[in-house]
Amino acid sequence: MRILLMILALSFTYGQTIQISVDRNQLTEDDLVTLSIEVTESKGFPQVDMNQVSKDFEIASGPGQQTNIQWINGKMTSTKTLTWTLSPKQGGMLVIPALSGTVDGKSFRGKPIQIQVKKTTDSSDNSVFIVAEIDKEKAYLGEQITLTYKLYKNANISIEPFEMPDFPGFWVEDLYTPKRVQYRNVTIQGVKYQVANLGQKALFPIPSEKHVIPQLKVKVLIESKKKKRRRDPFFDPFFDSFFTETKTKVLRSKEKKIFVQSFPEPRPFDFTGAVGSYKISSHTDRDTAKVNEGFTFSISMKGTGNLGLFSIPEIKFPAELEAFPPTDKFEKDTFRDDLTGTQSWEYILIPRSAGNLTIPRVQMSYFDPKGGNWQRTQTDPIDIPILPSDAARPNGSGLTKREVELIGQDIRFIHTGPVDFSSSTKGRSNTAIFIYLCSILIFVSPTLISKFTGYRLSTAEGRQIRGALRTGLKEMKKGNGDPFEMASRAFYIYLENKLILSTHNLDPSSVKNYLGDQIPSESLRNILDLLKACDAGKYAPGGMEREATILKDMATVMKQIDQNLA
Amino acid sequence: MRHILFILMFSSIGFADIPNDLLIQGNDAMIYEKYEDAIQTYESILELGHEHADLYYNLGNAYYRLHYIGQAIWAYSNGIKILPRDTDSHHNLSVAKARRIDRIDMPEPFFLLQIYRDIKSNLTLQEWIVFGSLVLLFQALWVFGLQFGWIRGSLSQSILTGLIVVTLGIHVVAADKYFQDNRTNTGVVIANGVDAYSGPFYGENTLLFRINEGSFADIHQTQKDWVEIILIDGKKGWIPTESIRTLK
Repeated sequence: MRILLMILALSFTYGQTIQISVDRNQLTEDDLVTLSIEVTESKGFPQVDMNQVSKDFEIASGPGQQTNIQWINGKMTSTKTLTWTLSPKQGGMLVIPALSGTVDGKSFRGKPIQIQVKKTTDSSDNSVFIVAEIDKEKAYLGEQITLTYKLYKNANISIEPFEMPDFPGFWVEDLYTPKRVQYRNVTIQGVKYQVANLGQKALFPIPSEKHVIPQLKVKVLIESKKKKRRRDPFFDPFFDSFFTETKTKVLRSKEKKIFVQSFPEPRPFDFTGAVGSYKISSHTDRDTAKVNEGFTFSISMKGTGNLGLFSIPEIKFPAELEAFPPTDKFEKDTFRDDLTGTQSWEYILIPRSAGNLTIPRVQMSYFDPKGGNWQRTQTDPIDIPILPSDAARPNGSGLTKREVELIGQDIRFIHTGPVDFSSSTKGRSNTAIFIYLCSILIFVSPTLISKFTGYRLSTAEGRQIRGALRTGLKEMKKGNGDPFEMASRAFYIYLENKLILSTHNLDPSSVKNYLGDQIPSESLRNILDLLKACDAGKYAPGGMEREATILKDMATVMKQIDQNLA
Repeated sequence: MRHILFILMFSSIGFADIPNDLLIQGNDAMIYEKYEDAIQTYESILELGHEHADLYYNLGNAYYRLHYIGQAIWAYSNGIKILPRDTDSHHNLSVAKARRIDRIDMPEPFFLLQIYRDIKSNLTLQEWIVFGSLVLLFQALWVFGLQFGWIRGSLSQSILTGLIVVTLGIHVVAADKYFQDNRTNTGVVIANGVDAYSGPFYGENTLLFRINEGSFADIHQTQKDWVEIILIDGKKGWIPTESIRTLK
């Protein structure tokens, strides 16, 4: 069956020929064509730029290299062949352009090859095909389009590894990628098929010029059923596989265009690109916080839509809160066809002053494509009391906290009241000097007053004299010894204090000397009698009759003398 | 030049009212945000030899508004020296200090020393002397009462002892303040990026450190156009005279 179409045989030098050929020139869209470049008598393989064919064809595989050496009649012929498998991009009359390249440093140029490609019609071959299923053809920017590539077959095929195409104009989230192609049975228009999911994607249109879902190309090997051979009891069905024929085909899904609708105007101010259905909530990890101690503020957004394509609007925290850039976490819910999940942001907030703080509400608008209208979701504001810090912040940076706070303040306004420039420091000095002089005067005045008026000042001596009687009487009440002894002793102590004497070891004669001319003679006699009675009572027995009254008498006499002396 | 003009203008009106008129004029300039005019007016009052806490305060505000942080700190500090208990001056001084570039910090002193310094700085020297004289007067009256027997009892003696201690204490504080005021010659750096050299001229001297406006420094000695300063953290160096302004 192999049709060798010799297109070119160029003779560069003696014996060197180049052949560029294809294995057939009539095929259908899903067929493959093999392009070979064969060079005889060359040292190396030819160098060809295959970009020249990429206009109409796609290289399915290649280049494959092959070297043949033949001995014919003792003469050696060597042939080097490069082969490519090409897949047509479209139907119609296609052209492999004149290929040019080099071999062994010499350039060559071939001729164009025409290939007729028949369009595959739906009815042409229904044994194997790929369908790209989309759930909608019209979508808003950011609205999810679910794309599923499905392979239908009712023949034995094997699939070669394939790659998903790029989706320009879309942001793609993978929903499902099969590890192994699994089939299930369906019936379409009475024909039984086996269908396999080749992959499912969530496509979100992003602003772009065109939104086209590209073809998926899959290379398959199809076992074509041979005409029923005569039944052979020995070979059938065990060796059946020997007699089936495989055919390589490139299957393509159809390109699909998506019409992207624009959002209804006006857009809400807090719209950041969210399309779908969302709910946001926020919480803090504690109810109260302390100054300079951080706490966590979390916002979580749960919903369905183009999660990850947008962010929440910027949160304006109060100036007293220092906010660090948030950590972003996204948990995808994998059990749904729609892209569903929870996106959460965690802020570390550090309050810098005490008081009641309010974390403002977070709100976000989104476009609900199902209802075709704008929706808004918002959290409640959170009140959090900030307690004063336990310890002062160490000023490691050299800036004290107080200074940092003060930068936010301003100076106070000027004093505009009237000013008395004359109230200088001189006036105050004069006042001070005046007061000092007064003080000195007051210090000196008592001495002067007593000198001129004879007033007895309250000196220690004066107090001693004034307190003499009291001291004497106190002395008599003290103790419970011999009353004569006590009475005389009390009087001598009194006299010592009253007359400022050096000692209280006195006797009646010295008393007479001291008091002789200061008190009336009657008083003197009384006291001398009493003192003598005391001495008699002390040193001689008898006098018992006075013992009971001696203290009382002495007190009376002492008071009398004190009056006389005053 | 404008200062002199002002002085000439007002000297014809009458001597007694010149400083007050100038002050009102300066305050008006402040209200209309003509801070440069206000500064010139206030400075001319100072040049006439008058000073007042409010004058320094307003001058500090004018300098602050024009971002002369060093001059503002100089003015506020002078005002506080005259009127130590003016909260506005203290507030504005701390605001101005917060905008300094250099922060030369002393280690926190022992708390009793800190208390003593706070008490000492609460009154001016004159006020301390007046206060001391008043306590002395009271003590004199007390002794007077004791000597004439109007005040009696052992408690009165203890009170007298206490009065003597208080009187002595106040006079010790006053003396400390007097010597502090006379011993040190403190200034405020009023220029930015002042290079301090190891000697009083450019040339071979080594650049020791660089200070910015608003820092306090003790002036150790003067040499022609240069002064030797000691920062409160102990650094010593020579800077040009015009870059520092001595506190009154």
